[in-house]
Amino acid sequence: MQRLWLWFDERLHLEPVRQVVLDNLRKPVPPHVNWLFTLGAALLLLLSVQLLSGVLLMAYYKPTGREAFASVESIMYEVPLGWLVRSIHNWGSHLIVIVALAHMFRVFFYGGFKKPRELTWIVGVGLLAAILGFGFTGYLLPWDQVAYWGTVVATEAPASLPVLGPTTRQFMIGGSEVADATLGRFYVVHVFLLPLLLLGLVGLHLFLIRYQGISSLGRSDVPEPTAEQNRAAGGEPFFPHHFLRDSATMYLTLGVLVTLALLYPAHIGTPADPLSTPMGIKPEWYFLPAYQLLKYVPEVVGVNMPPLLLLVLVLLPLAIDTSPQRHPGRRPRVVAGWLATTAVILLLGVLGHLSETTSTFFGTTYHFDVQGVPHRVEVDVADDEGGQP
Amino acid sequence: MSDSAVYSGPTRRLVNALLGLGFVGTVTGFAGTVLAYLWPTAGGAGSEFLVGAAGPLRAEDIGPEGSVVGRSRLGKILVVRREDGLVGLQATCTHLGCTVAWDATTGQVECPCHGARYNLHGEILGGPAREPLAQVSLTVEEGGIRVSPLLEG
Repeated sequence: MQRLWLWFDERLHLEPVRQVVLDNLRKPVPPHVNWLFTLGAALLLLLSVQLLSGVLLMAYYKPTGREAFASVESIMYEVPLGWLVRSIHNWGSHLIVIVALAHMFRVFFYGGFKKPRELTWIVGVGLLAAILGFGFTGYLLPWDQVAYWGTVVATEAPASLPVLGPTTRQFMIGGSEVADATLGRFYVVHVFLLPLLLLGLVGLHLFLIRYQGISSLGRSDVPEPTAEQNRAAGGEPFFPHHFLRDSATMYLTLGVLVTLALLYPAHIGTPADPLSTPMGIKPEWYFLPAYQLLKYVPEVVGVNMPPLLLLVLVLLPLAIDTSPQRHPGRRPRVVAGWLATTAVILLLGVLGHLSETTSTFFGTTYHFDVQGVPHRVEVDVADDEGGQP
Repeated sequence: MSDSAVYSGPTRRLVNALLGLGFVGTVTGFAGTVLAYLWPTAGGAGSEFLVGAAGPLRAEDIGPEGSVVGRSRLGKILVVRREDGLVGLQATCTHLGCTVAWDATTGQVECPCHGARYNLHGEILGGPAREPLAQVSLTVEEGGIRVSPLLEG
């Protein structure tokens, strides 16, 4: 081993590089770093699993309108453990969005995005956009009814943009309607372009985090504590202390992922039929707020909302929350705005989920119409007029 | 005194400009090729007669108050049988492109995606759609149901 190292070192002079890596590993993290700071590691694990399971799925998946559905069926029912690989990929896609949002909330409330870490945040927003792009393009690939019509609606939306809208849509889907050409495009974006982008952004994100270290809790206009000060204040070395914490979270995440995949395997619906739209078609849960919003406002507003939200996230450290305060209590307006936006998005999501369904709450059955407004179906004898509007 | 007074060949600036132009030309060429390659190709012209998943659709297969959706050169078409004959409408919802369906119980054309509702003239009755569905003219012939644009008046 020693001789191998020497062989490389003689040729490439690796000793200084080794020193930098070791110093970096031993650098103490600030004392306030806790389990919430392991969400990024969980995300890294999920993305890696997604990459691996995705590569495995590619071995059997066939991206043509004629074969896609049957190939997914074959993965589910014929390929040994194919159902497990697909279920892991499917559940991974959900968990990635959940953990990415949780990670973003953590960074927001700790003020970790503030100067000098604006770039790390912006790269993170880019990662979130890439993740949503994965969800959007991957959704079509099974080529079942839900996949097909979800994509029809989602790609129809940009067509409402003025001037270039219709051309943009045609270019996106490769024709006048979602068909073979669309599948080919989405496939290549899903399995090649987005992974390339993702790897680049993850690399940059991690580099920036290691290069700048973890943010302090103090004001951003005060010099941050040095490594020595962090050590003196009780900060533990990244390796092995925080690394161990990261590893524990990663294992826990892996456990949750595999458990969900085992207990609730992914399913596949009926093959896509462009001539018949099934009732109550709904997108993935993380697109539900946008889906519901489209029912209330003109398309051009609804369509622009998600990208606009990403733009707001990019602008957050640059123009919206530029005060040096990191503590959430000392930047109440931004925090209130963040919470209000979250509440509206959650409400739209819940309404989107409930719309066109019938549910029973406290013994009373309601039908939720397209707008998500509940209508009482059956009135209990002694029921009062209160409760749901 | 200076060399430039003697030298009359191309200047450094000219060479730079030419190099720059060449580079821009190369990039444009590549970008143009990529764009042309990805440019959506027009689909087949489509049939004048209505075609379903299993072949040409026949008028006699549509029962009273029944309906069917097929393709033609005018796009997806919804055909509904009423007492006074067949009625044809564009089947692609003007809201977000789902395929509409005829609901015989409500007597309305409804979109399953976001709940847009139309009558059999294509006029909007409710929901998020802002444009009506275009009506088409149908004629029952030997070869099936011929679809043609509705002539005004």
